[in-house]
Amino acid sequence: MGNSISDGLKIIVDLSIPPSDYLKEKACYYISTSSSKLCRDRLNKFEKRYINFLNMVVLNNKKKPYNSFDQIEGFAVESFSKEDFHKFITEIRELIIYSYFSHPVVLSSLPIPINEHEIRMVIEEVTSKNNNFHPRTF
Amino acid sequence: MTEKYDVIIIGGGASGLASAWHLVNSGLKVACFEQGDFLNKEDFISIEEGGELQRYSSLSYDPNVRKNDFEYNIDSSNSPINIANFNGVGGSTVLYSAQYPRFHESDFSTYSLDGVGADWPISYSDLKKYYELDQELTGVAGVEGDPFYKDIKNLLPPVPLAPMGKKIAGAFESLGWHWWPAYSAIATVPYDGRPSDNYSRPSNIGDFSGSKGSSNHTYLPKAIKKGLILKTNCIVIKLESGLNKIKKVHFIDANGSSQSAISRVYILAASGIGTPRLLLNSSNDLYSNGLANSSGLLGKNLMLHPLGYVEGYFKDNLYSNIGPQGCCLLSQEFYETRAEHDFKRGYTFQVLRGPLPVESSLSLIARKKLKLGSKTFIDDFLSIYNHTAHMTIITEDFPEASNKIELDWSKKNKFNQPGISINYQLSHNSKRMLSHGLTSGRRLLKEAGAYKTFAFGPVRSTGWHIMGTCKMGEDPKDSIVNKFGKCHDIENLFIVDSSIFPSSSGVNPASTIHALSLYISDNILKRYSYLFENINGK
Repeated sequence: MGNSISDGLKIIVDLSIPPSDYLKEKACYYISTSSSKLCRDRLNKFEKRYINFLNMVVLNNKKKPYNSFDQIEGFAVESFSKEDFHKFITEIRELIIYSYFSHPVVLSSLPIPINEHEIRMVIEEVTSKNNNFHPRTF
Repeated sequence: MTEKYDVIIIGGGASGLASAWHLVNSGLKVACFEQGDFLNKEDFISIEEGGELQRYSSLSYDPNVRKNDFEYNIDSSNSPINIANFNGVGGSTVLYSAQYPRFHESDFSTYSLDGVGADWPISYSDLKKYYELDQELTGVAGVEGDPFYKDIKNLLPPVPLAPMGKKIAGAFESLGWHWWPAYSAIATVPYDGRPSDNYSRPSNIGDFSGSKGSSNHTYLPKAIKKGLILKTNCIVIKLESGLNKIKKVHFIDANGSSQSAISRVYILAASGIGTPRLLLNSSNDLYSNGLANSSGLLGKNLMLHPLGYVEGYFKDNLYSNIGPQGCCLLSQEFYETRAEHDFKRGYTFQVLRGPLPVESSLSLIARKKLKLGSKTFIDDFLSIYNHTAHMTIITEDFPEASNKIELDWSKKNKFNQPGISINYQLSHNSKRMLSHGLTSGRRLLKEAGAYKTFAFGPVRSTGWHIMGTCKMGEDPKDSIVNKFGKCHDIENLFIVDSSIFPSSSGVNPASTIHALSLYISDNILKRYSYLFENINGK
C-alpha cells in the first residue's frame, strides 16, 4: 500500500537524496512505500501544512525545472519568515531522513551490518581478537 | 472498595521492582502501582524493519514526545538539560544504555574529603553486600582487576570492544590514562534463564529478548513468582496523611476510575522527579508545603550529571555503530580531585557505539558534515557511518538548593494533575570540569588517529540521572529521609529511589539505585518490623 505524495513534495524529496550505486530508486519511492505510522503521520501533516508552498514548487518547476535542493531551500527562504523557514527545513529533513533510513530496502541495501547475522560475524571476529587485548595493570 | 496491602510501592521502575522483590520474599502482601504499562514483544519493531524510529515516538526518552495520557508534562525551559526518562514497567531501565559501574568509596564522603557536595549518612561498605546481591540478580559483564573497583568479582565476559573500542583503548594506553572495559548490565552469555545478547539492537532502544538487565527482566519475574501484585496503568495522584502517618493512597485505575488503597508501609519509587512531585502534590492542612517537607528541601538540590560529548572521525571502518550503544569502555583517569585542576571532584569518560542511521544522519546534517541535495549523499554518509568514535563525559554534579523542581499547575494532564517545571543551572565547578573533559576527550581521539574531532556540552537531552530532590541525611532540618530511607516526618513512608542521593558521583547511577533500594528494603524488615505487627495474627 503506497502513501499518497504530492507532485510538489516529490520534486523536493527526489532532489534531496539522489539515486546511488546501492539504491537505484528515487528518494520519493521510499517515502511513498514507508510502512511506518510515524512517517505517514509526518507526511500527511507536512502536506497539509505546506500545501501552498508545494503547489508553488510545482508551478515554478513547470516554468523552469529545479535542478538542486539548494534551489528549493532558496525558494523557501523567500517564501517564509526566518522562524518559519527553520521550522520548514527541520520538518522536511526529518520527514525525508525518517522515511529513508528506516526503510527496510535501504537498510538491507547499504553496506552496513544491520541484521543479526551480519553483526554477529563482525562481533565474533572481533571477540576472538579481544582475548589478546587487556587493560594494563596500574 | 478500598484495597488493602501490607506494602504499597509507588513506581515500577528500577528501585520499585528491587524493593518489591526483596519485600515480597519475606511473605508480605506487596502491591506495586505503576502508572505506565508493561511492554510486550509486539511493542518492539526490529531495527531491520525500521525500529529505530521508535526512538522518536513510543520509545522516546522524552515524555513530551511519547504523549501518553498517564504521563505529566515536564517543562525544562529553565534548564540547559532536558529531563529524559521512561515511564512503564521497568522504568528508565527499559531504555537505559546498561552502563553499570558502582560508586567509588569517595563518592559517599565528598564534603569530608574535598569540601564540596554532601556526605552520605552511609558508606560504600554499608552498600557493598547489596551491590553484590544486585550484581547477581542483574548479571553484569566486565573484567575483574580494575584498580578503581578491586572488589568486583564474578563478572560475565565483557561486551566486545570491537575495532573502535580497541583503537580508543590504544590511545588511552598511549597517553597512560586509565581505561577498562565497560561494566555492562548485558548478558554476554546466557544468564539466569535470560538469553545472551546478539547485539542487533542498541541497548538504548529497548530490549524485548531479556538479554539486557532491565529491572523488568531481572527483578520483576522473580517478584511475580513470589506473589507481587503488579498494578499497571494505575496512577497514584495523592497520599492522604494524618499527623506523622500515611492513611491511604488515591489513584486512578486502568479504567479511569478513582480508587484508594491502604497499607502498613508506603514506599515511594517514582524517580527523582516523580517522587517529589507526588509529595508536593499531597499537601494538606497539616503539611501545607507538601508531605515530609519540614526541612523545606523537598524538590531542591536537583542533580543531573551534565554530560559532554566528543566525536572523532576516522578513515578506517571501525564498525563503530554496532553493539550495545552505551557499553564499550570507560576511563576514570580524571575521576578524583587533583591539585592541578581548577575544579573539585571529576568525571568518567564513556566510550560509546554510535547511533543508527536515522539519528546519525540527522546529527551529521545538523553539523554540516552531510548535506541533503549532495550528488554523493549516500557515499558521503557511508564515508562517515561506522568511521567514527564517540565519547561522553559524565561530570559529578553538586547539590544546590537553587536547582529544583516545582509543581506546574499551568500544564495539567488529562487527569487534572500538575506537570513540573525544572529550574537548573550548571555550577562554575561543573562548567570547568566539563571544559576539561571536552578538551581531554578531543586530545584522546586525536591520539587515536581521528582526522577531525567535534565536542560540545552540556548535551541537552541527557537528563536521565535525576538525583537529590529528597535528600538522605541524619539531620531532619537538612534532609527528607533518614539513613534507612524513612521520611523524618512520616512514620510509615519510605523513599528508595535516586531522589534521596545526597551527592551524585560521576558514574551512571543504576547499580547504586538498585543496591540502595535493596539496602532500605532490608532495613524496613529489620528495623521497622513493628510496622507490620499483627499481620495475619503474627
